[in-house]
Amino acid sequence: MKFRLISVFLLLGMALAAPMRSAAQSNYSFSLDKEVVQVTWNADGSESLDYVMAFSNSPGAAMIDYVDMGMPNSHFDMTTVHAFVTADMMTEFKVPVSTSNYQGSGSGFAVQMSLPIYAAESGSIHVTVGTITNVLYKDTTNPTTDASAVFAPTYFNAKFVHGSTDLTVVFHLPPGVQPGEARYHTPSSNWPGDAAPAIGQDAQGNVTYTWHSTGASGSAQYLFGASFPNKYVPAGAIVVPPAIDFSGISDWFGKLVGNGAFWAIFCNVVPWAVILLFVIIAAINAKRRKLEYLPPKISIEGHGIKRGLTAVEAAILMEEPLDKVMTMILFGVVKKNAATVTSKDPLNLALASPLPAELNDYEKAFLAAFADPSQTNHRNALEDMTINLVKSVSEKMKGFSRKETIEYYKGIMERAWEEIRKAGTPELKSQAYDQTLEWTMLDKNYEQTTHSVFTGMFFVPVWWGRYDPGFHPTAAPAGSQPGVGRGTLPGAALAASVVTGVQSFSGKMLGDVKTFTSGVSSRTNPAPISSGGGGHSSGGGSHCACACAGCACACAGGGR
Amino acid sequence: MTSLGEFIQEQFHHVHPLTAETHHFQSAPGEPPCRLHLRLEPDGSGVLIVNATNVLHLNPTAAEFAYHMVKGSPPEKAARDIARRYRTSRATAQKDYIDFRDSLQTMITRPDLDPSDYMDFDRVAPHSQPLSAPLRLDCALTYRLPPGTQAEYAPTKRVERELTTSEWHTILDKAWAAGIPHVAFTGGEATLRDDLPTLIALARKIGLVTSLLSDGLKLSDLPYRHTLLQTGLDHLLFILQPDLPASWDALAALMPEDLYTTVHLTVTPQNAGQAGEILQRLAKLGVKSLSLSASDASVHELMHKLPGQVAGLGMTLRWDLPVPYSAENPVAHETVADQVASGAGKAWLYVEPDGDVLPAQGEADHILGNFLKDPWEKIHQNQL
Repeated sequence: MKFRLISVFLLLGMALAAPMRSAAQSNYSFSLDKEVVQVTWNADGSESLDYVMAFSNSPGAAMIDYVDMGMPNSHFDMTTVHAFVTADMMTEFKVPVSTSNYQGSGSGFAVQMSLPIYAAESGSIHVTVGTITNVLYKDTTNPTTDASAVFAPTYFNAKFVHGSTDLTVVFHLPPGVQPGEARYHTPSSNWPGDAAPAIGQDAQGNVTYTWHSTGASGSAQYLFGASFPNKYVPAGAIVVPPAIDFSGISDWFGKLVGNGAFWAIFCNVVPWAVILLFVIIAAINAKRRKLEYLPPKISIEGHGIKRGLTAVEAAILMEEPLDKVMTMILFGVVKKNAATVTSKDPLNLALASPLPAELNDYEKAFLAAFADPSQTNHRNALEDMTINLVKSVSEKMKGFSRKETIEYYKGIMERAWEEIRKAGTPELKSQAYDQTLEWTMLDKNYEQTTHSVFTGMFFVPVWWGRYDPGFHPTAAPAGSQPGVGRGTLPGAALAASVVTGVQSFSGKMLGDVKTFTSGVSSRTNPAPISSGGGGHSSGGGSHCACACAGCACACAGGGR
Repeated sequence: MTSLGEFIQEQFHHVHPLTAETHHFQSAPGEPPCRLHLRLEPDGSGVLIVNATNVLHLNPTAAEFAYHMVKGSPPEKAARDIARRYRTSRATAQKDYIDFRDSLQTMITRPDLDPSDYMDFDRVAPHSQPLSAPLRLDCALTYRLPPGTQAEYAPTKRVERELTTSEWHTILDKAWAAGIPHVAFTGGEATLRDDLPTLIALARKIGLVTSLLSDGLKLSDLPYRHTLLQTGLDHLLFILQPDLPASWDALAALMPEDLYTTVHLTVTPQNAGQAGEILQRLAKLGVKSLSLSASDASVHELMHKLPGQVAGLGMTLRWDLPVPYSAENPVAHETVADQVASGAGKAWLYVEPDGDVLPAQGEADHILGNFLKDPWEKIHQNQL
């Protein structure tokens, strides 16, 4: 009888209790109207389960969103677990199952009710478990010849379940077992139905034991069992508990507990030893049971490259100095024949009338700034123009990646230089340069690259005279390419002319460029909010004294 | 406080990810407006939707930080809980939590900063990540239209009946239970449903972000407008009819109200010539958020130019909204080379007035199920 008790104890300890969901959600209230459990003892010594359970949720109760299914032990194969909810009387829909959401005691898994059972509603679930091993034990009466199979259906916390359950438990014995070879165990004493099951055969011809009661409880543990010859299952499938004879130990222990000194030692030492043992086990367990910590990682949905920016807008994005940005705008309006530089010191422009139609908003604002004869007003108007330009670029960049966009426009700049380098003749080179001037100006090493590309003469474009009032063209060969003017400059002079243009902006138009930039950034890029919580730097956006457009522009990406 | 029994039990149980469910946070009155929806997935990862616009995908650690942020946990408590559940020290957890919280706050308060550059967020292409449920449900309450509406605005599919208020309530409940955080009421003309204020209020009560897509004409009526505002409507998508004076009047009446309003303009060959003037007029009315789409390939070139003007006028361009010709927006044109996946049927679904679910408006031959009658699981499986 000893082994039988051990086997039952093991099953009880490891398998049965399975309350529904967290006890914290104490407003669960439901009845388990009907439950049918098919327990199949397979030829390989494993067990398969098939549960069908019908619930009725009480009016005003919390919805049933999970159902915890207790398992006999932890040796169930999750890949063989499937769960379905019945949406109407006919159709079953597969729903997720997971061990991680299981909140019952012992081993088991949770069925996620994708179609929850709301208050005052009814619903059914169908759960199948293909393989559970380590479920057979030696029979205590005939330990050498028989195997013992004991099972208790999952049950729910008595606080939540009420009413009676129409419960049917069907044992399907292993293939080959004959009716006369097997015997059933008397169910646990709380079983309200007949102790003797109905004996029959299933569709495969296997012996079946069926226990049934309409007055069962959804919160009670009921134990059912059967024994059959162990020759029908592999010997290795039968769990063998350690065969220790405890009788000697028991005698010795009986004498010991009669000794007063033992109790004195026991009371003083054992509690500390238990605590120490617990601390050691807890420390060992602590790391193993916890989740792996990976640094928090956030990914944001957003587009990549913002195409369609002008070179000037790309310069803002690429944090080029604002005096350089101004020079790029100046080149733009001169090339479009919207203005002519009448003097470089001080910088004065003669505006075309009417202005060409294809001007960008910032170009119109730039020209408007020069329409005012006051130098102070120039500066203020240029500041306003820059602020609007920065805000406009920032708006355009919303939802796009700044980093990827900068790389994209760097690529355009590099390809522009490549086109110029590849041009076969100085004239073609000059023509290519004319077409891509603003993009090449995005190069942070603009002056050096110009020197290296234009080693000989540079054929000035037709508009060059409008940019440089002091330009006196030397003779150019007849039959020049369209767009190329009738004069030449040494390459070094070309680079110097552009760089001088930038310097004249920084020195004469904007005043101190750092101050100008700071004036812009104070309105376009106020200091970010600090949480003051632990020295975190969220990056970007601080006021700085350098002259880059990046301090003014923190163009955004992400979002939609 | 944890009891000794719970403490002992804790020492012998493996830690599992937080329960898969949706959590919601809304800032208190007087604070900067902020709504967060955190959807925790079974594997512990999460999706955080910030103000119904920014979609963030979180690894399990970040998802747990976001959970504490949504619950308003102080750093000390968050760090204690994290250190109990993860193999890390309290100090590390607290520092990472503060960094995480600050990054999100910066993203919320500084929408002009690129989160990839300034907050070290990774960028993923829109609609490229797996989702356990859509982010938005477009609910066509009715296919009825106001008398005299142009035929081109009429929906292509007719339905035999409209769902009742309680049926829509069931759908809203199911949507929230499935983890969908945002619902957009559309039509037809949604304001023709008398129960629209009730439905908006119900959705808000559940925790959903609510949008209304409307021609806005009925909102020029002050009592009705205030009724809608009192329901807690979060967002109005105003379909502008630029040649209709009443449409401009309604918009002028709406703009001073405390309601986030996006104006949608469908650029047609007929109004393309006045598009610039229309944008300027919108800017003068104080419109800050604009949605554009094209009815016709002949205006595609203009669609490439208008975003520049929109930005110059200080308006933010929106897309991915349930508007007419929604696929023909400037951003879609601009990002053709990037082969961005469509969000229809994945990031959003469309429910017809009878409850049938479509990937998006106009895809009447692709019914995924019925949101009222079918379990979400079935619809989701068809969606996949």
